[in-house]
Amino acid sequence: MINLNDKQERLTLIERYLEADTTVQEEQMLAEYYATHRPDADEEQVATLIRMSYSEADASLMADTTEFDRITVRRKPVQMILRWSSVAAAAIVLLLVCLHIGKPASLQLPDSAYGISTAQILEGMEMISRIEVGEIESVLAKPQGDRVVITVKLANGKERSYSMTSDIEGNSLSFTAFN
Amino acid sequence: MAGRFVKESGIGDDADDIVQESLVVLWRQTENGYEMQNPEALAVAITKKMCLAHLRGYKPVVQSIEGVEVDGGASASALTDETDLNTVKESLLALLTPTQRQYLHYRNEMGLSLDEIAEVTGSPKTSIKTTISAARRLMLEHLRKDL
Repeated sequence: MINLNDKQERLTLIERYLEADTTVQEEQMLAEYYATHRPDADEEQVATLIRMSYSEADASLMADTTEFDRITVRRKPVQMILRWSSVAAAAIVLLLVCLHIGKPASLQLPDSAYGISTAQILEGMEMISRIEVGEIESVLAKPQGDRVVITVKLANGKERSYSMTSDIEGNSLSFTAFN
Repeated sequence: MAGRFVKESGIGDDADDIVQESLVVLWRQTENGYEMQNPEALAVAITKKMCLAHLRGYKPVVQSIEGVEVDGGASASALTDETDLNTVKESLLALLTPTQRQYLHYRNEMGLSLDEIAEVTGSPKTSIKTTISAARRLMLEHLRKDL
């Protein structure tokens, strides 16, 4: 943080201003400083230049737009997590299919037991992550019998679980929130 | 874009209002005579800034002041000071090239970063930086002579 009451720091910032190396926010800080402080004799002209430059500035337009980008891409890490989760979910489904093939006929589960495709699991994970409010840390999908339990872990430490089922034709997905 | 910001930031403002206010600012820019290479980039920059202004509590209030008695908001000396500053500004801007004036307008009055000015004008960032720096130094030099 720049301390404009320190003359050396102020002069360094002025030099950067003249080189057009300063940000809009730093320039505004200088303008506000000189609007409220009497400049030293050697700073009078530069103070006039800076105050004059921002005399017609539209205050509503002075924000740094990187903040906008930070806010609107806040959910980006979730996409990465989803990508890894997709791989994990696919692996789990594959494992279950292998186990299912190896089971004796008497232990076979009904046709609907594993009726949810990997694509549907991924679709479900994405849908849940969209309806969740707050920053999501991870999304985990675990097939359990004829349903898939999707657990969302939020950045604030809270967890929510949803049970996802599919109709026999696989045309629609249903979700039940646990907590 | 404004709709996404409203959703992600959680502000209760209407995205349509933000877009409307942004378009008013953009419209004003078409009246200043500066040639815009990329109006879309300017519209994007203005909308982003307007979104952030709303996040910080900016509320444009439009109401009639008919019949309302209003005291003067500034002292006579402050107004004189402001008028003097504007007179100095006009005389210094007259010394600059049209390009220097355009870049300074985007920078000082609209708060655009060098990257944003580069997008709007289609000029390289380094050239914009050099032009703004030269304009500032020229104006300072004249201030030092005159004041």
